[in-house]
Amino acid sequence: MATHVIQFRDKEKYKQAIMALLDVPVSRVGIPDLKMIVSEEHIQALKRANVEFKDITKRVGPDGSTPVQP
Amino acid sequence: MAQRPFNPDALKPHATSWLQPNVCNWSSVWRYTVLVPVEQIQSDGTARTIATSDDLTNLELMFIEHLGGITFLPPVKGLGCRDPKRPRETLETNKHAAYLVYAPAAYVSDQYFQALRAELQEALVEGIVMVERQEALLL
Repeated sequence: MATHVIQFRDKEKYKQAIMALLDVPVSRVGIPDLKMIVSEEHIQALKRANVEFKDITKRVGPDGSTPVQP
Repeated sequence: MAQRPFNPDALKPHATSWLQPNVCNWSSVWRYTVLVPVEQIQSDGTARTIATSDDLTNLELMFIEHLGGITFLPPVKGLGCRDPKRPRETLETNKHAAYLVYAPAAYVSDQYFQALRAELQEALVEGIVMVERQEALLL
């Protein structure tokens, strides 16, 4: 199940998204700058509701380095 | 008393810099679950909207501003009676928006969430808005 980081243009779009995602039976995360961390189910729900968003996910290939905690 | 919009400014006096949780290895934090009623469905089929889309948006953006982020859980439905003395007549189903938030294991967090509960109860004209707290250790 792919995870996406998405961002909304303004508060109005964010509000539309909240209502479109209210009944999606999967958890999501809200973070600053009108961004959300969501799953594929949320992406589909937003598309069905015609809510505009930008997918800003950065995919790292198999040779990508893993962040190391201090 | 009439329902009014949720007012995030009511929480500003409690949103100190201490409220941002220290999210790192071996941090002891408090995890709050907040259930905000969005719809009340009575046994005769009458449905009433409680928290509006504006309320939910303002609440979510306020949590992000004050606590750095939130997890929005799938909606939670519960069945209960509004008046325990008249369970059959007042049986209702409530649909809730459920938020999970980390905060520091400190008194300021309890103050913040008690103020939140009071503001939600007053704005939505609800007898009790459920806010629960659990202790968590981040590994």
